[in-house]
Amino acid sequence: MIISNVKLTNWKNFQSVDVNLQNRAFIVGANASGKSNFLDVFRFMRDIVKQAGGLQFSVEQRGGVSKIRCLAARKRSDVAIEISLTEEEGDKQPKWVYYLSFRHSGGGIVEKQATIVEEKVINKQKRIVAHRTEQDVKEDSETLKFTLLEQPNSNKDFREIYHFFQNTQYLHIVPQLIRDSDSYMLASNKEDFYGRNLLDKMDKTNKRTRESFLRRINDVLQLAVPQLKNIAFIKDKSGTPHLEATYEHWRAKGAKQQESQFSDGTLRLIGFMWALLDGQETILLEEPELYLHSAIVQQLPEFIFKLQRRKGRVRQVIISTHSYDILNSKGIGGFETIVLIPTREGTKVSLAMDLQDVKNYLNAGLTVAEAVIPKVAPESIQQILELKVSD
Amino acid sequence: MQIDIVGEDPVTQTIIERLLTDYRTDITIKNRLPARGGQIRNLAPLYNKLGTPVFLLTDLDTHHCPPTLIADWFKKDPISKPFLFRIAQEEAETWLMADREGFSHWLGVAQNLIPNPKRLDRRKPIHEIICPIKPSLYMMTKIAVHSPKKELKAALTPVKGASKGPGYNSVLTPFIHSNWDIENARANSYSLNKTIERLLDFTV
Repeated sequence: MIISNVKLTNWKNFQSVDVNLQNRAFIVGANASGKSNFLDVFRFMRDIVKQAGGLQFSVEQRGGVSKIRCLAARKRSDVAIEISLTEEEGDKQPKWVYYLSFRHSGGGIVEKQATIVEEKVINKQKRIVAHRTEQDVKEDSETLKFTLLEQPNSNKDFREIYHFFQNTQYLHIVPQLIRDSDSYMLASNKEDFYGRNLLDKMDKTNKRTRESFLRRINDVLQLAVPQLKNIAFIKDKSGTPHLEATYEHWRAKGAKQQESQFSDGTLRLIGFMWALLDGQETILLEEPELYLHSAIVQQLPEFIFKLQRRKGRVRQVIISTHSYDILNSKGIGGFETIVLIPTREGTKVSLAMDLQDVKNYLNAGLTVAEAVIPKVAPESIQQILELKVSD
Repeated sequence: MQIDIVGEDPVTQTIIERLLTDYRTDITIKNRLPARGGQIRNLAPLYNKLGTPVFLLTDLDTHHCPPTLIADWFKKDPISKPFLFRIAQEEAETWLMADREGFSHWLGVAQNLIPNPKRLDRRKPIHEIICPIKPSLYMMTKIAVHSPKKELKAALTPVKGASKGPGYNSVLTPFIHSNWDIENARANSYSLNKTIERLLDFTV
């Protein structure tokens, strides 16, 4: 399945969003326009359904409803998310529509919590499979703390949605954290924001799958980092997992290196490939271009396109990027590019094709990079050159 | 009217900006193109097809004359009406130096370091400042080096192996914004004068 549409009300810096997504979605916007906040909706959903997760956990992780609710919000006091899932790109009728709205309650001596205002699930036949509101007589402040979606007893009829969000992935690898073995220990029971648990994940993957993934990773590294050969997964005496590779130099046999010695770019590339290979459902990639040479970055859009397609299925990839090299790929279209533009009423989200001037540029044959990047550049950025930096 | 402006570097874009503020207050800037300066030559034929107002300024550089540059860039396509395509002889920087009083005063150098405008055509009164080498390079290596203003000199003088001074844009853009006397400059530059005339007449 893929996420085919997202509607948001008062979510972080978005007051109101209604946007369609395809198999690939490129999220483009200036700094602080809300690219990560947009991706965070999907992580929020995953936090609701994951083990030891739930709505309260999801909200707390983000600092409470007051931190989630849009600062530009007006009348409505709640935060609402609606996500449509289709079997494949282009399906007219969503297979599932999940709607959740919640608000802040409590304060003083009453415990602060997120209270569900409304929760609704609609299936492919447009039938309402589940629906509850705050006003229902059988609801009370305790029941309204938990979504139907997060409870296996009540999500039986739409378990598919539950599994879908459980299997979405988020990746924003910070090489320093993979390398740092102390933080590795610390992070093992926590959410893996930054790829700290990459090695742990590899460890948990069954051996044959792992070796097959590593073979593919090796094929790519062979081209991107030719001096690094034969990446392998090993465990040291204490059972701690490591990646090991042969670093070729003038001695005939080369030298063994472990992940702590790999370069930032190499680690990003490995983590990035692993994430794309591992798992079935939507994957969120935050700025995949970081630390990589522009010659590699230029190949990413097509490379991702290939990696998305495995075993006859297409896996949705949602990418946030600043990269000219990625967006300059002629294969990226105006319907798969999502443009974020900050305004006083919160950030506006549109498909590139829905912006009149951008559409005009694209129709004239400009690439997404040339059509969109100037549009999302801060208006007065050139004045940075005229700033007085000393007295 | 809203217009897209196209210039390959901040200096060119700022010149366009100044021209618009001084001569066409009814026009506001929509987007600044391109995202990457080096792309301008390849993208110009596409901008020509947009059908919406675009103001592009480029350098004549090594082309013999504007028509050869146009033929080279656009092949046989005519330049469309909403596309204000202007070429600076030989570089946009020449237009800055064409304000000989202002530019030399700003740098604190003698005015005669800037070449006098030369008549280029026997019949038509076409005057331009012609430098013996690439004008921006001439400006940096033959004029700015004599500046007693240390900051300006350091910003404009290229380090070994570089083609522009390390603070090139950050000193020239403020000059364009607040010091450049366009009326003074247009008297010494036919291509600038013509651009202003075209800009004044520009309609879609």
